[in-house]
Amino acid sequence: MAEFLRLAFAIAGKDIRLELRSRTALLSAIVFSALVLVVFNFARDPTAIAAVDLAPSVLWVTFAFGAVIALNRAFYVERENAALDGILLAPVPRSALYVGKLLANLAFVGVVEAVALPLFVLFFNVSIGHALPGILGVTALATIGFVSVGTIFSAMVVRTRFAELMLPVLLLPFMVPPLVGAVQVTSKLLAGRPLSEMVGWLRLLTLYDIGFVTLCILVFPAVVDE
Amino acid sequence: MPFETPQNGGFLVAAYVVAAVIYLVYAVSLWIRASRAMRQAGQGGSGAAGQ
Amino acid sequence: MTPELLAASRIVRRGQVLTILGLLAATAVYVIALCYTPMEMRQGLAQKIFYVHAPAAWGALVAFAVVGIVSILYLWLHDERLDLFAASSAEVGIAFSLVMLTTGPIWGKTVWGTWWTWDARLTLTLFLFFLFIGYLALRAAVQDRGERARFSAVVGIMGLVLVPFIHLSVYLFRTLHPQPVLLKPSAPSMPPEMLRALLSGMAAFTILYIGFVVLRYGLARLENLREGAGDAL
Repeated sequence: MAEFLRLAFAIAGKDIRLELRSRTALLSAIVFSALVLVVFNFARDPTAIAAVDLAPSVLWVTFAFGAVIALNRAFYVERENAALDGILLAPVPRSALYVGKLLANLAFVGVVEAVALPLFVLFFNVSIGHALPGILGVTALATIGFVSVGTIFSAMVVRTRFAELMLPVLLLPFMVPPLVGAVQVTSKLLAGRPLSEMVGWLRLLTLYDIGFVTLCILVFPAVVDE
Repeated sequence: MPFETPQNGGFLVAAYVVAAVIYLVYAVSLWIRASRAMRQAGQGGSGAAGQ
Repeated sequence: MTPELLAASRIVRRGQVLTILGLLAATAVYVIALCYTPMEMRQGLAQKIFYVHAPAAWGALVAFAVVGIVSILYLWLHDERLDLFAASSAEVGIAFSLVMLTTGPIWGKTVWGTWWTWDARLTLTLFLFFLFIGYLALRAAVQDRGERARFSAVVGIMGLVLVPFIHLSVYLFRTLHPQPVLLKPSAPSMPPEMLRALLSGMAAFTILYIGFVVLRYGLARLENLREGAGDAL
């Protein structure tokens, strides 16, 4: 177990270091998220709709698209350096490889979200202080959901034609349950609703995470091995 | 107000026609593709490569 | 004629026969539904769309389940014929989903006054439709046959696991956002003529599904032969 974690962290660390060196994926995802927020602002009629009513949806659409952009690039670095082949030759258990990639992608998407959230608060003038711990929690839950499936799919599509188009086409249906759950919980958190109203959704999110992380670990060898 | 059965026979026809068209178009497309493939296979498979 | 060519041709022939049978059976269902079922007083004639709509939804679901299960079998047994069969079911699933997604709104307009509603079955079928499309798009984008089969299988299995979550999401969503009361003729106390028409529809369109899948599978085997010959050059 300790060895597994050590390997996973080593792989994650390598990916993160690679990305920090070039930073292109991270920067494009952050800029993209900021732009999405700006567009949403102008797409809304402020006299007709209160910011707080639209807030959860705007926030989560931004997070979702930002995640897709970040994931898209996550494997390119690998492919461009033909590094993946090298790793595969080593006797690394595939599950450790997957978890390592998952952790790295979670870090990427986490950074994008960490930048998008304050921008969101700034642009939309929504106070989230009272709900902040809850929002961070639900963000973590939903992001694990997106990224677990996204890691598998980006590993697949990076070698296909039209990779940038294939990833959203495959991934978006899978993002819907975490997205729906996240928007519902965020909306209730912002409205100060009691926890009992969110339990069903939180259960959905947790089940989804457990189910899909497990499934992805099981199928990842089929993606990378001949 | 006495209840009146809505006159929506047009919708019924539309739905039945749309469904029939989809099924038939798909059936025909499968048929044509299969016939073409059988013909090409009959002519010696390797000659038809590079499609 | 090589044995594989012979086998594939035989499958195509069987598929053609089954498809014709299915189409004839479907025509019979049309006649039964149009002429031998009572008209539902509250919904009018349009209620009869149900007899085509419900089997289509069923067909899409069956097609999807087949893709998922056969994908699991492929990853386990690595027989490329399983991959070809799964892909065939996906394509047929698109046809059935399209029928469901077109007849549904047409019927919905008469019952609910609106073309689309996020009710459980329509939403689920919409997702199946997108998953089928994604599955086939992925296949088109991958050149290597082995890779294509493995990747498709992964998507097929993941899609299968996704379905219960979509279901749960829609259920949770709807209990919080009550939908307008639906007039559903699928209550257990359906008059016998309606039940008969529905069951005939289910049977007929199942035969049609099988016919389509077998024919498509035969075609896939033939194309696979040709592709294999191409690889060898």
